Amino acid sequence: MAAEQVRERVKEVVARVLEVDPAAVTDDSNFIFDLGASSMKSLLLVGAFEEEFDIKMDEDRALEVQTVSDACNFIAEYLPTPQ
Amino acid sequence: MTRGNHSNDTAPLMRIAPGEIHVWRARVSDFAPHARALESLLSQEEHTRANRYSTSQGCNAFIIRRSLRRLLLSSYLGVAPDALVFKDGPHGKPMLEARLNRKARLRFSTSSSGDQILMAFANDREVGVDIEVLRPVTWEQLAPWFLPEWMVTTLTKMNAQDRQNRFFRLWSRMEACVKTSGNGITAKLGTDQAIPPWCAPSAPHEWGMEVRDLHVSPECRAAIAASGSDWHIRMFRIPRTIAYPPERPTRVIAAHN
Repeated sequence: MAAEQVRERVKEVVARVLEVDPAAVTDDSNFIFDLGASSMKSLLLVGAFEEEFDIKMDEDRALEVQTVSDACNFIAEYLPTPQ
Repeated sequence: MTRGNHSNDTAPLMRIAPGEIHVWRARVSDFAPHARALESLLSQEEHTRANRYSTSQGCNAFIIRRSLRRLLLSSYLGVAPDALVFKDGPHGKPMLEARLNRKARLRFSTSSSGDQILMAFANDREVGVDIEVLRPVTWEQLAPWFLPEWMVTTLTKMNAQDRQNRFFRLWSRMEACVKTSGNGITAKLGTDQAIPPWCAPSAPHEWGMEVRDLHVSPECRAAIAASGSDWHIRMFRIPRTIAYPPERPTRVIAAHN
């Protein structure tokens, strides 16, 4: 999957789970500081990423991810490398 | 340094008696008209964070939560509210800078959900508080993170309303325990224990703390945890007058619940 495609899908998931305007979700958005994610929303976000990309992530490492950009990079570790 | 009219040089300090934990409650909406005035109490870093919220509602709620925390801490410590300096603990638990917290005695914890705010203050013991407005939630996704299998099964068998009530009761207790421990939420928290404290607060456990339910309003579930068990709670409501410069009292006057 191309990096840009991952990024767009990550942003869609973030906007849906955190219930924020998709336009407010940028690469640098911090889930907690910028988008108001509570601990409950953070857990739901991990589950939503796994569902969206059909992957199983290291949950403790996933909870340490703080920004959209970091989430894209983290998720990319679990996806097949584009040919 | 003190800005605006939120000085506190004259009134007596709030005192926490031995064994007491003070719990303060407020509604964001009660203070919304004063968000701009309260903003002057925040640090530059807090200003920056407030302005990063994507909605004015989120921005104002952040300003109100942080300024009320500063005003209450000021009343316990005798330090001007805008002079308080915070630092994050290892897992993000906010702490006061040591020089402002004489003998490092005062501990605090804050929580908010919807319009509700709770803040807890204790001396010489760690404390954690959590409040959750009852709302639809995909409980089946969240429960395996912090509940043992037998409790997930119990929830599954309940009707929707009872399940929502029980789920938020368990969640608020778990959050209070985690905040008290300062360790943060981790994967499969408590699922390797037969009875984590949030499932049966009176059962023996190894967390070195006690967790109790708080009754704030019918639309919420809330809990408090604190190290040890030799403590009792005093509940107060944060008076709106705390935000009224220049006429407001220079110290918090507690309004009993």
